[in-house]
Amino acid sequence: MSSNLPDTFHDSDSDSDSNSNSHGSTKSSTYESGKDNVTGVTSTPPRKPIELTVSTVGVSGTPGSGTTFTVPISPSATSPASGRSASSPTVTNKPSFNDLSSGLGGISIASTAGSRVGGGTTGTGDSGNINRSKLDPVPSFTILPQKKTTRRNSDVDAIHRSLPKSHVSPAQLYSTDSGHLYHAGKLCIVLVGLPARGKTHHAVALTRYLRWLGVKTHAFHLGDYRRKLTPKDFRVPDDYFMPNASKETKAFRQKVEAACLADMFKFYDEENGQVVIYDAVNGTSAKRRALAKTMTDRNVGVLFVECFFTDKNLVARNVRDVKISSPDYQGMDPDEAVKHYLRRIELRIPDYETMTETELTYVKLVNVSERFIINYGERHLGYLFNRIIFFLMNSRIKVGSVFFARAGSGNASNEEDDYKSDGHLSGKGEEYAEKLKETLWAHIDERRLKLAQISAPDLALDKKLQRQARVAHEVLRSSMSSGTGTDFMENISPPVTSGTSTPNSSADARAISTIRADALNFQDKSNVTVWCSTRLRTVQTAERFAQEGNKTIQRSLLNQLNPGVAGGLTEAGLKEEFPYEYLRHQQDPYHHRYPRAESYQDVAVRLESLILEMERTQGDLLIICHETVLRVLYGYLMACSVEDIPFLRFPRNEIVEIVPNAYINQGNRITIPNVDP
Amino acid sequence: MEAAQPSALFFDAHNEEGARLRRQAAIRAIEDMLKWFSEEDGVVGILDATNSTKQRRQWIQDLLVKQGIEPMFVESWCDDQELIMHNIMDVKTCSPDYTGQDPDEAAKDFMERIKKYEEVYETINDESLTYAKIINVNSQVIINRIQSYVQSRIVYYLMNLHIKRRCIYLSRHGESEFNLTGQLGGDSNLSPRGDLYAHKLPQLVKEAVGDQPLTVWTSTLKRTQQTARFLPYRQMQWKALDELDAGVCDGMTYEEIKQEYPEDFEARDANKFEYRYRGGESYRDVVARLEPIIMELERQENIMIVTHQAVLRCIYAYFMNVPQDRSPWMDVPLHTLIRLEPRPYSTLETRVPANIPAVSTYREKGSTVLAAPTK
Repeated sequence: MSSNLPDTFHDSDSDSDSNSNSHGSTKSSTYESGKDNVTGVTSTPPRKPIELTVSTVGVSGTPGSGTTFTVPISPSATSPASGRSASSPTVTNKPSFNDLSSGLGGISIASTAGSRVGGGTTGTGDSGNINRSKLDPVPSFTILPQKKTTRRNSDVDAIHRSLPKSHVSPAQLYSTDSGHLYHAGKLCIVLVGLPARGKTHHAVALTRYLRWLGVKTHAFHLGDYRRKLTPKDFRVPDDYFMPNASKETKAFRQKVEAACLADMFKFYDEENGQVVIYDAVNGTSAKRRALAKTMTDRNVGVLFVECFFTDKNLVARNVRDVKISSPDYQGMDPDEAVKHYLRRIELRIPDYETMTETELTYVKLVNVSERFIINYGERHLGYLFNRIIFFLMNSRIKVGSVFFARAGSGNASNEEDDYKSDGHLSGKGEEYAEKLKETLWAHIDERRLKLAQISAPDLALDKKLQRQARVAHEVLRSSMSSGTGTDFMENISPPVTSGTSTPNSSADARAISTIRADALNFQDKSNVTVWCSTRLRTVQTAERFAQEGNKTIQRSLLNQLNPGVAGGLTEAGLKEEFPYEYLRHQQDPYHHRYPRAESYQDVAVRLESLILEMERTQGDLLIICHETVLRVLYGYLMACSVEDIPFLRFPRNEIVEIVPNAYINQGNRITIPNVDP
Repeated sequence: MEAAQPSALFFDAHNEEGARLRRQAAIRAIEDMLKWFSEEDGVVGILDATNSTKQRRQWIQDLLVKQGIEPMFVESWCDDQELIMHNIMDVKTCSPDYTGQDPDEAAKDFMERIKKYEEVYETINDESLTYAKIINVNSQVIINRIQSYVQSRIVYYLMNLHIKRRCIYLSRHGESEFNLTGQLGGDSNLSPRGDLYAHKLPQLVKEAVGDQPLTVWTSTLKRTQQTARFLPYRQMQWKALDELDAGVCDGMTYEEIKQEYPEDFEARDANKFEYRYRGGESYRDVVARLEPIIMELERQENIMIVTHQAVLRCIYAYFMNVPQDRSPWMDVPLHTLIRLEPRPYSTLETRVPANIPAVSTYREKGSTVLAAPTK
């Protein structure tokens, strides 16, 4: 394919007759989830006052227009949590709780008691009856060989993978028979906007968040279908994006669109999907009204999300960062390239109409997140809609990586994992803290240097980066085809780029190496924000950065998973003292909690507000905390499954970097030299 | 105070004396708020005033920024005359300004007051401010420059609110077979007396609701659905309304729990809100999973919820602002319809007993014995 199309699709005025694309798929059963494991947040008392954003709300308005909003405070907010203390028997010199859960790789235990999540009761729903049975006190079990959990499995962002039938999301509070949550029905989120406006970013970010909550969501990018359906020896016609295209072109456009819509309906009908995200230009009012009708006729609610810019500089920056990495612009002066690109968009999409349809429900994002205009159409989409807006208020097109690191070690050999002790860093721990800082600084310097090279007009490519990119691309490709659910868009090579642009595979390698080109202006050591938990060793590890003037924030929400009675016990000790709980834990290490303990799911739920703040944070973010919490945060950013999260490893001699990307996040491990794992 | 119940003239922008007094009132309110921030570690202060001029808002903005407080403005803008009049009758005539006055007189005075404001009213359009403008009660919302997570959370909450008059009706399920034996949890059927309650409930509800539309929410457990089965309204089942999961203690009596898990029994009494049953839930867990329910309740109009003791306590505590050390200990008897009417200044509560006897499921701290039955 020779074209370097912008990631756009000027929507034809076609209606969709959906017969052109049907992948061999099997009729699937309804969404089966395990037990409705309803669970919630626990909180530990903050060690120190944490940073508080103090706001005041001025209420203004004409009297009589509803000025007085009383804001009741929910019970959980009225008084500080008195922490639940772990009544743990202290046994000294034993391996850790972590090692326990992560050391289980060898065996898994299949139980006959109950279903998978949390066990105990059968799945039930927002509708339907429940058979609530008591936990079987003596579960029978057999030991099965454990499927090997390899690192690769979770090293690739799984956000585009189809969800397996039995899927349970990390922060899912409960499951239902219908497989849909919040009585919200089916929903189609339709992106609207010109190229380089961040549509793909929003599509993927929303998918990530909604899936995390347990809403069955899938993003469909029209550009993927265009590329897939373009025959090898065929060039996408020049008038592809023009309203008055030739007959053949129009037919091709309709074919592309029909293929995409067919997959969307397949997701609703056969995969029991709840939310479809449709990533295309959708630039005319007629187009949008037709789409709304198609969906409404199928009883699907429609929310339009328009990415609109009034700030030309922001668009230009977006173009510069994302689009001009295409081979077309090789060797061209970046400023010239941006101008050329923008001219191309204007030419191709002369009749873009911003949203003003009052009967439709839409949210217009002005300059990414500066301003939101929300219009409630004829049908209110309820709780889920408000939740989506809530997320969008916090979502940023990220510049900067998230780095995960462990705290330095303490003095006692088991102190690391003894929940109750909270000792100082040992001498070795202090050394580690220094090495961590040096390694991170070196990495940031190196990255800066590379970006400077790549952004130079001659675009001299770093051979090593190019190779890395190819490898990453292969991994990604293989992971996509090995998904357990139905794969939409089989055999398609996903774009691996820094933004909405979707270059062809020849360009992928370079695209990956130009990730976040504006990092040049943005990313400097001084722009690294550091978050740490309130545990002493973590705080002391982070102090190195505070001393350098980096913004460093302690957050009690980052404190480690409370191990409850398991704290300080060895695997053998646990097996002996809590044989039943021990077995349950191995059946479902993600959801099971020992008495007085938190489960990983509890941690995922309590981290909700931090995840949204993580989405907000611009520039690099270094998070130093316990491995249990790192697992969950990483699980969010890389869309890991609940089966994998408890086994993710964060050895002390590695900094794990997540490079944000509109289409897919990139994981990257940086070795800290001369440190024990 | 100069005038506890000022007349509309007080709000005339051309009334110099009124203007002086109003400025003074604004200064005092802000002073109190700043004091609350500094002396009582306040986190979010809400300044409820008209703040209808650019000048006034800029004054507030500058003052707060100087104190290191992030100001955020919430404007409720309305040009729908019907909505305005409705709101006046509903909200304003019960404000402390008009206590004891004839409602019609109060409404008239209030319309006058609005006119005075309208003369000088300037809607927010300063794009450098952080604000949320809610137009005609959530038909459009404009959100500008949200600066932090907390602000986004506030806007999210506001988007769920409306100011229409409505009521929330709460009832526990009718007496169940497990209630008779004193067992916790389970998914048992109604007892004969519980079934009587189910038969009587439509009449009770009809008397309380009248001809207004109503939607009934139940949990997914049999006893709530059996209780609601004769109610002639739209019904929805919510997983999130299921009873607090007692984990390993599900199906046991308090006496059995005390014998089998004495430490747990004590731990629960020591901190009932935080205590989590082994393999089950705490009250805090229930509150977390009720978040979608609470938001949906704020959004909806008349709703009746048929649910379980612990869940009902949490919902009740939210509307009645009961602190969390008390909420798990509240007595919510069986066979009683509770009517909550959220009003701007407080929530009004009415309890309608069905006069059908039932066992009590109320247990005092430290005791394993349930209280005397209700009649």
